[in-house]
Amino acid sequence: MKKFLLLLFFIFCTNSVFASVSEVKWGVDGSRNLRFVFDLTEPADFDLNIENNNLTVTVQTPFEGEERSEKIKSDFADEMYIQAAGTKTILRVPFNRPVAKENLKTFTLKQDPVTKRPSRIVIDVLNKLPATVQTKNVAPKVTVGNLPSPVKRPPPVAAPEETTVVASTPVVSNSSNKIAQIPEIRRASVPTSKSSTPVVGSQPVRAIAPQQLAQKVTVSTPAQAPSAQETNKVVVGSSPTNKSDAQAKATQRGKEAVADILSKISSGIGSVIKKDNSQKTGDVKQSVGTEVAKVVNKAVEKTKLPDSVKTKATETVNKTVAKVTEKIPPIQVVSAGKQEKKSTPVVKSETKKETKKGEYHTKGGIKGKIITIDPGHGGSDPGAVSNKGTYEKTITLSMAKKLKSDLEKMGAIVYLTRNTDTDVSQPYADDEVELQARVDIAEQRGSDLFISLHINASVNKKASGISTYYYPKTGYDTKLAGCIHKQLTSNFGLTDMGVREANFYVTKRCSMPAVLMELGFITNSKEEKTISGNWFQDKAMGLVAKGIQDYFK
Amino acid sequence: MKNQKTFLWGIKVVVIFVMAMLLAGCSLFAPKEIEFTVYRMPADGSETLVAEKIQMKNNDKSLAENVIYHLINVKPISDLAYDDYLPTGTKLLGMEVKDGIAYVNFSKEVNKRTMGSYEATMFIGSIVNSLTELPDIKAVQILIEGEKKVMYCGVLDIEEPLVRNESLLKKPASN
Ligand SMILES: [Zn+2]
Repeated sequence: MKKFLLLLFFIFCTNSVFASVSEVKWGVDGSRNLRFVFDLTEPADFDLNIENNNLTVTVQTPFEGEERSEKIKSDFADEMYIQAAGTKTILRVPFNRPVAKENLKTFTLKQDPVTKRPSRIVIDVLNKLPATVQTKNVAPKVTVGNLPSPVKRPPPVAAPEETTVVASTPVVSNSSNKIAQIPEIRRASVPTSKSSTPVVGSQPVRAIAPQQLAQKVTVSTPAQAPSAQETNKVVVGSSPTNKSDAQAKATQRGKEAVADILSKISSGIGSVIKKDNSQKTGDVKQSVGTEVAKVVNKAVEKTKLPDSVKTKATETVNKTVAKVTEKIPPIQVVSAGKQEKKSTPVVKSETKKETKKGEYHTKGGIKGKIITIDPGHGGSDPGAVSNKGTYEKTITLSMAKKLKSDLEKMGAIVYLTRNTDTDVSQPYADDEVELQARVDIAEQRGSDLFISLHINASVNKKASGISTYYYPKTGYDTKLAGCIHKQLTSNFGLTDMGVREANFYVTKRCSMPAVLMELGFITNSKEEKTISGNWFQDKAMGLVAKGIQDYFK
Repeated sequence: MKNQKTFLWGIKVVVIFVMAMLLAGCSLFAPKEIEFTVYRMPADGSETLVAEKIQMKNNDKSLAENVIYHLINVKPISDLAYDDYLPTGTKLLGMEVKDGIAYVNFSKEVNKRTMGSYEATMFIGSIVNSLTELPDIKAVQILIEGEKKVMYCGVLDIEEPLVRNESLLKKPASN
């Protein structure tokens, strides 16, 4: 208890002493909303003020970054000023058009050690007023940690018994040209009493401690199973010191019965062991117990004892088995059998249920078909970056526009998840939120297909080529991937990495057939040059369009 | 009724004795040698996992634990396999098989892959395919710091148990 209090005290101290603003960033989303993000080492209080159309945000912790003025590309303002004022950090933004308090929305995000997201204060300047403005959110004095995070989460998909939604929300997935650097978190997550916003749906799955595990898998000899007490009692019972003849006879009969039972059991053991071996793996104590009980009870049934004794004997057997089973740790039998390749995954149909049953067309030609193209990354997320500074988000957008025009020429109705260099949800949103926003667009448009375009990257500089990924959820995903990939690889000099199944979020979570294409490696200098060029992009997208046309044939 | 009591005690002892024999016997029936296959990330930057057959003395670990241990801690035999398997600092926090699902619990560093989806896809494919090679494992649930997470490296969906991915075992059709 003392230790705990000390820990609390320590947390309290470090919290107030070392909290600081490590960076202030800005971003603009697809709806032209302007966002400011304060990265904090620890949660902190802040005030928000708007006077003479100047926004002032005062965070009650020192600023560790560089004091500066920074240009902003937004309809609201052209510049922001970040100031370190002793123990405070001040952000000033002179708006060049009227902004009402209702247009400001603030929320805070908790630190997430897993995704390396620091604590955050987020201030949104909304372009249009949301349908329901919570006045609570724009109150000038806001205590961090008390506001609900407004980040919407995607609907949980087909949960097995223990569904766990990720405990936290937004992440900065990558640094962009707008941001100097993603601040490092200095300490691992320290649970503070301040940031105790309850997270809905978080139900951690049991962490398995190594020691615990060791116990679970070690085959233990249950020498401890029969307790000393029980052994003693038997000794007493089998030494007839104070008995009448009748009693002695009865005891004798009992002994015979036990001997008889033993012999019957010995023949039963064989079957028990056989069963174990056929079972090969898993906890065997349960099955051993059941088998023993069965054999012994059968043997008891065959003796000439009175029925009442038989019933009691059966009861004792069952109770003893239960007791022994309960007392000993689980026992795993290691498989010795040959491992056969399983070609049909069994769980697939059980765990994966479609949440949305969008209707999509798969036949009758490409004309009139609705296709959503998703240019990977964008806005605050540059995607993969090459040595030369080429961004994945730039290439994917350029490719997507080409593919759109090709498909439209074939008569398809085409939507892009983004038309410009922007985030689809919001700047610095959680990957999950951002990707779900892309899936949502495809769903809302009633798309027949979803095509996500990406450029690959690897630490292995040799890696090169085109991969087409699908998630086999509809029965048409595989076909779609095959059609596109065949066109691409049979008409191209680029390395064919193959058509692969993968668990990409977007292809898995959308209801219509989908593919995610990794069109070359940005980390391979030769390929980077190729994929950046118009010639490659035109040809590749022409072939993808042809593949899609083949699919609808 | 004392004799009846004696009889019941006798039965009790028999049950305990037999169960003890059988359960102790289980370890005797365990094989001396174990054999399993691990699928390694390829070194050539392709997307075909490199199979490695392992034969070794039996130990107190389960087969599934041996598989994971091998993937993480033992250098690949062949140089066709990529040997920098886990992102720096990643620890295996635990592993358990329950109802046909292997729960593999990594420390948070496992998310530290800085590069594109290639490594992420191959890493997950390697773990899932190696473990589902075992007869009693149908799917693999990746846990990070003991929790189910939706995203792995910002691209893959790991919220649910992942099933075997045969497509990562084949070479591309056109090669
Ligand atoms: Zn990408």
